[in-house]
Amino acid sequence: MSEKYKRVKQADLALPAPLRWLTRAFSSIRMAVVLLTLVALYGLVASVPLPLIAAGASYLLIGAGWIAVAAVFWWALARAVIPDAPPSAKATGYAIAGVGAVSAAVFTSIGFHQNVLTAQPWWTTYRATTFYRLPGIEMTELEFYSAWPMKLLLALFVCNMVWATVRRIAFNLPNLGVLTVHTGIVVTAVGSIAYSSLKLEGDMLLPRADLDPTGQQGFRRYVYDRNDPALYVSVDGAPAGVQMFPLAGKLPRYNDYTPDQLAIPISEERGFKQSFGDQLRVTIEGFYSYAHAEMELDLVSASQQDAYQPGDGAPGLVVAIGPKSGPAPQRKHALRAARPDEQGFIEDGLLVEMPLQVPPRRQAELLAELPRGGPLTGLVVQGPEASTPPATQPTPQAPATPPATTPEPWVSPAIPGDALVAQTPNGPLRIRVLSIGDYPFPFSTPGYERAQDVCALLHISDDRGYEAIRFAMHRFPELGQDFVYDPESPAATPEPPDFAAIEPGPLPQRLAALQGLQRKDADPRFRIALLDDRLLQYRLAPLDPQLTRFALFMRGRGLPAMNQPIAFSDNHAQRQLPLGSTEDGAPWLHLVKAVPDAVPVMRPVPVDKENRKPREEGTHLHAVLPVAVQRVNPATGETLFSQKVHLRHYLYADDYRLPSSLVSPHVDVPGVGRVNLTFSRVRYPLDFFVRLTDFEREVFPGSDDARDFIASLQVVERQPGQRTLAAPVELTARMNNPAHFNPNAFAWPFYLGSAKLSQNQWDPGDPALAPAEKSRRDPQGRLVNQQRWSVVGVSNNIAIHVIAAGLTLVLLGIPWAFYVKPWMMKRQSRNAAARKTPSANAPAPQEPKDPDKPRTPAAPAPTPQPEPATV
Amino acid sequence: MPHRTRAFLLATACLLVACAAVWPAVSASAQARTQIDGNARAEPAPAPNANPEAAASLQQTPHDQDAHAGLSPTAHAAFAQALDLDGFRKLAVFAGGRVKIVDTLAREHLQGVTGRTKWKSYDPDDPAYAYDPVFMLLDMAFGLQYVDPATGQLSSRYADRVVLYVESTTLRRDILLALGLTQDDDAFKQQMTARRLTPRQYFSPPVQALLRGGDLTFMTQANQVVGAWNRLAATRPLLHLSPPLPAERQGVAVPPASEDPDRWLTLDEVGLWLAQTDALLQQDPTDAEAVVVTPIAQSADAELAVAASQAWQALAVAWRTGDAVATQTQLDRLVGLLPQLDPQAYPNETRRAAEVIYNKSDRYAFGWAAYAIGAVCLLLAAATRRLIAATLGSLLLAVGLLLHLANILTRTYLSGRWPIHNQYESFIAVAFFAVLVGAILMWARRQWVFGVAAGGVGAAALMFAHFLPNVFPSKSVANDMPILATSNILYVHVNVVLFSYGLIALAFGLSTTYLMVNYLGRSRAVAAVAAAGVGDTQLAETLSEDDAKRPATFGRKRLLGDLDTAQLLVMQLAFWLLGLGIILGAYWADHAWGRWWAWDPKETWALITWIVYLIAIHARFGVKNRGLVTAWLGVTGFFVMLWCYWGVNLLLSGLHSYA
Repeated sequence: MSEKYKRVKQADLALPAPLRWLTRAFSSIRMAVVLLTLVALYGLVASVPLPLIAAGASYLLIGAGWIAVAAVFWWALARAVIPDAPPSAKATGYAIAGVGAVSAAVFTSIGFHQNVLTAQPWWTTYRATTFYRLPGIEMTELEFYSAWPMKLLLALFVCNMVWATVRRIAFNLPNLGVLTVHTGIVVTAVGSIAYSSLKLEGDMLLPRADLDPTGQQGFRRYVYDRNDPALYVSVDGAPAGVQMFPLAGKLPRYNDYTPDQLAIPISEERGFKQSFGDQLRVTIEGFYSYAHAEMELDLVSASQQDAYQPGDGAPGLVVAIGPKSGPAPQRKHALRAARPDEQGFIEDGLLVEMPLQVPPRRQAELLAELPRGGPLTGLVVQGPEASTPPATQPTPQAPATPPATTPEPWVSPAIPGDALVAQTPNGPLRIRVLSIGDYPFPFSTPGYERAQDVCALLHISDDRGYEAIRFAMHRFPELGQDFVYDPESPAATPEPPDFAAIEPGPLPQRLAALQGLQRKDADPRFRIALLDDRLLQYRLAPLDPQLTRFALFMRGRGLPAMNQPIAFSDNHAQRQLPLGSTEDGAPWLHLVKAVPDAVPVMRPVPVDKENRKPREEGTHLHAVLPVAVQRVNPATGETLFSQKVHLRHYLYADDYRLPSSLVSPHVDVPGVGRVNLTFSRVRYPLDFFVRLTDFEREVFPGSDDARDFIASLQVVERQPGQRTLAAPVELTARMNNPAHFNPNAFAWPFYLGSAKLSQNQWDPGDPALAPAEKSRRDPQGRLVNQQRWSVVGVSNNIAIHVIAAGLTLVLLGIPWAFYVKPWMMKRQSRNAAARKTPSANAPAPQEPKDPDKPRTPAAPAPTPQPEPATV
Repeated sequence: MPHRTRAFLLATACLLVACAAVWPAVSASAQARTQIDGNARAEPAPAPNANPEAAASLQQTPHDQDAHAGLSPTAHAAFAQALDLDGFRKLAVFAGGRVKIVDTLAREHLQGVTGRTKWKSYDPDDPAYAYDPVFMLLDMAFGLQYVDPATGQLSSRYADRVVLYVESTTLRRDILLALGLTQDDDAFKQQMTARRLTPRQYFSPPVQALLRGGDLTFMTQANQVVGAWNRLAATRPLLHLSPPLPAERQGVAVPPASEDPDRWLTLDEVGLWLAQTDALLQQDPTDAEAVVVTPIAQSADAELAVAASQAWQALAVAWRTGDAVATQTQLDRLVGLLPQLDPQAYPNETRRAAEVIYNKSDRYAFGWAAYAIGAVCLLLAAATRRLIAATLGSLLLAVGLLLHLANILTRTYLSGRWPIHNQYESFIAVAFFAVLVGAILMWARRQWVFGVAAGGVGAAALMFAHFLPNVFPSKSVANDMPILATSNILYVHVNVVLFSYGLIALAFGLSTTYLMVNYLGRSRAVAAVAAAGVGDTQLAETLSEDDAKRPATFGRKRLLGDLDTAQLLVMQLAFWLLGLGIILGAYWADHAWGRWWAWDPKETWALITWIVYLIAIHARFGVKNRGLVTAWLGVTGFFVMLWCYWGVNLLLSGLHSYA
């Protein structure tokens, strides 16, 4: 304890109680140690996922347990078992116990980790979850480190350090080191406060100037904040234009919230009503933190008020595929009977359809049998509709039966290359199977636009001289088409084509044979349907308007074709149907819900936690916002209009390909107009313009490994106090080597210091492009299909020099305290001794005890010369 | 019978047995060669698939046809043993962005495909022969996939060889179950132990279906297997053995062999270039539409390239037939030709020889033995005070240090940069710094405990590098890490931080000794050992005497004081250097990333490590037993540093993921 501290302590002890406690506490080094320990623990909690912390704590406990066992063993060994054993025997016992305890701790920990920890569901689900990601906290890493507990700890530490320095340490030359270090820490703290308060970081997407489609020659002036989200709202025709509403601190980041858990009324934000009037209401009604890029089609009742897409209701069914037990799989399919292209889906060899009704001829096709063990594709040929009497619909009591008087349809297996003769009511029909494959064209028939189907390409001819190339469809036989030779057609060849010369082969190559032929609807005399039993097929036709019963038609993969009625339970609870196999783990078809008046809605599908990319969690990159747009009567509060939209996150609110345009979904609100909404990041305007004049990816010689990314930039700003532009400044930003720009008039928010322009991201081109096409260059030698844009980071750097000065003081002070001070103290003591005892034979004086340093590194004691055989 | 004579007779007998075993295969091979002029086929090809579409799709996976083509396993091993690959091993090849020798590429390639640098068959009926990696590289290049001249079908020697490494035990089990094996099958157990798949198994539909789905963890595991196959499949195109060719041939300008004039070429590409330029050179000079070529000086390089290309093609044929003599002839031709193609671009003989020694010595990692024995000797010196033990220990420590230095300097020579660019290199550097400082302190202060700690740290590090090679994914010498090439400050930052880590490791050794003396050193014997360890021989002698008049604690306290001084000395230096390293990193981060402190996990944990030592320095003011608190904090700081150095890299994502 220094003399100074003794004096100060006595004065402190004379103070009244609260003051005495305070000054004693803040003069204490123990408080500094405690505060530093808490800072370290804060860093631990902030950087390590919670499961890992739990694992670490478990290992420590296990280790402590085994050490306790070893300690007992040691004690027993030393006191009870071999109290009089020689030291070597005891040492051996100790060593065995020590090594055994460590080994046991290691192996027990490994076993615990592999068999207990990793077997827990939460281990996988929350393996990347740090404390600040928990619901209710939802901060970024930087925000968490800037939160009040950390600020409080650091503020207390700085106060403690300053007070203890002033009270305990004498201000003299030997103590210059510690004083410098402490001063450096204070300077760094002051600089950091200014730095963190005024720091701004963002980026801008710059198209290469020669490729800018907007006519702005590549110049941009908006910077998007690195982290803070914002919602952009505009109403077409409204004079307010686009308004930005920052969402930092309001919007979650890592967890999902349903509408009853979250409601952020954007229309209550300052400036909203002034801009868009008091009738419009915009509310964020939930939050999906990490959703799949494609939304899922779901069905809700048309009578529900929360419909995202108003429309006419139709019978609908939601199904999913997955194991029989447990909850329904997350990935679902919504089927609506109203439109053919919404009726079904094909996935992994399974076709599921919900036709509104199954006419007799279609029933005959669906129940037609192909011979067992033969090809899995075939054809069904029937006569015109008038020749087919109606069949009975299936009921719960009795399966559907084909009409008794129906002429038997002609059924045959068919693979490419087969030549067949079908017997039909209109006489024999000769069929050559040219190809079977996916229908290669988009459907244009209303209702079928987004549908997919498999088709057979057939060459057909009959005894009446009719000859055509027929597309026979699998799912939609009614859409069959004939291609015939019509000399009147403008595209017709002078001579009729030789149909017989068309060889079987893959479908895309056979399409050339259609050239010169005239397309027309299939000849109604011959209805031909393709049977494709490579697919397992389930068709569920509703038997009543309430969708409590269905006629189930099944076929495919060599199974016998059959139909049977099934009952969906009265409350539409989930029901499962086996898909071929009933073994454990085999997929089943889950009928999740049936909605008699269903309208489709798109809903986000959250990504499972274990499949999220840890670095992209919390960035809003995959977030989706459900937003309600309403028009209300401000006087009564009555809702006059309501619609919901899901907003995906856009990194940049303005589409760089379209000038002054937001990438935005919109809602047409009667009485208000078209409301545009964009979920993006906070945007700052710069007082200067930046453009990308060139971009180069540099590689290591002789390889394709990138070595550097170089963005050539041009910066233009206005003349100070004028509206004219100054001469452009050329800058080069390289990877990890940014360009600096010192503007003449740097407006808010970059009002201090210079701006850094750094090369952040680049355009690698479309991965689907062929390498040659990807590296194609224009006549000027510039790449056309890659390196077309760059993301340039922009940031300021306020008070960095203050921080640098503080850290330099710390660096300089440490060696002084460790090495210069002991040397000075020794020198002083030697001088004092020399003055006091000039005699050389007098005993050396004791080194003065330094209260600030408990034990200075002793000078190496003079080592006695070793004896010849010993050290 | 003299020993040499016995050995000679034994070797002769073994040779005769091997010849007898190999002869049927060799004679069958020779017979086949006479019939089909190329590739021997041990078994007929299986019947083609009846379904033409399926057969067409299987063409993409060559292992479904003629899978047993090539030599029998015994003949294959005999062929491998008959070849002298030492010359070919030293040839230069361009791979992974740098010029290296074939031996290095072969080891890296085999490691990537099979998970080991030497392969031996897992079939118990096959000869237990560990194949040379260079042999395996060429065998994979020539034998993985080729067209059998007799049938015109794709053939492969590797269809049923257990070569594709599956690192994950879980995935391995899932794959074998998907293949229809059950856990009770011997085949299942055998392949679980082998940890590898055959290419045929890899291409089976259930395995392909399995590898397509799953979460991120699964995909990481699956990608390792897919990567192993991709490496295997790309063996031949990987062999860029020819330096860049000149844009001239027979005195006239010709189109360059590659868009990038600096790119090294495979000898197959050289052959293609020769064919293209042949056509150009043979065009009619009177043809008005002919490409105009300009006569230039005669170049010998292109003609050498012709010879090398021919030798390569001949080598491929000889290799597939298993003709050792013809193969050796072509290998020797290539060894003579390739270095002459472009002597300027070709690495010199010294460098290539250094790389061979570097590889064969496993990067001098055997120095762990010198460290370990040296540390034991120094411990004995401390205990017995024998000069011979101290001398031997110091000598071995010096030998270990020299081998360690040889590792670093050779790597520097080969890569052309200071080797701290990946985990392996930084790990070696940390240990080197620790040993260096420990050795200097030991010799300067004559305190053997520094040597014991240094030797222990060095031995542990090199043993880790030697015996657990898969822990370090970046053992290969690679190009500059682009981020490190951007600034000298960053280089200094990394080196200073690694130096401080080395000191922390050394301080850990001293603190551990302190704790042992503190808790176990109440007996005079233990205290005497520790006293001699810190160079206090007088005290050690005093303690070792059975002097009842002197209390045992007197010497122990003094000893603990000396140990405390030693640990504090090292910790103070580590504290300052770590602080310097952190600040240099902050300086660079401000410049490059635009933010001097981003609370990246690596930054956070470096700060926490620093805080532990800050606490150690300050905690001494407020406690009675300063040395004990410092020692415990020294141990704590070491484990925090280990977490910062390794744990953060492996388990947390951040900006320092390359470090």
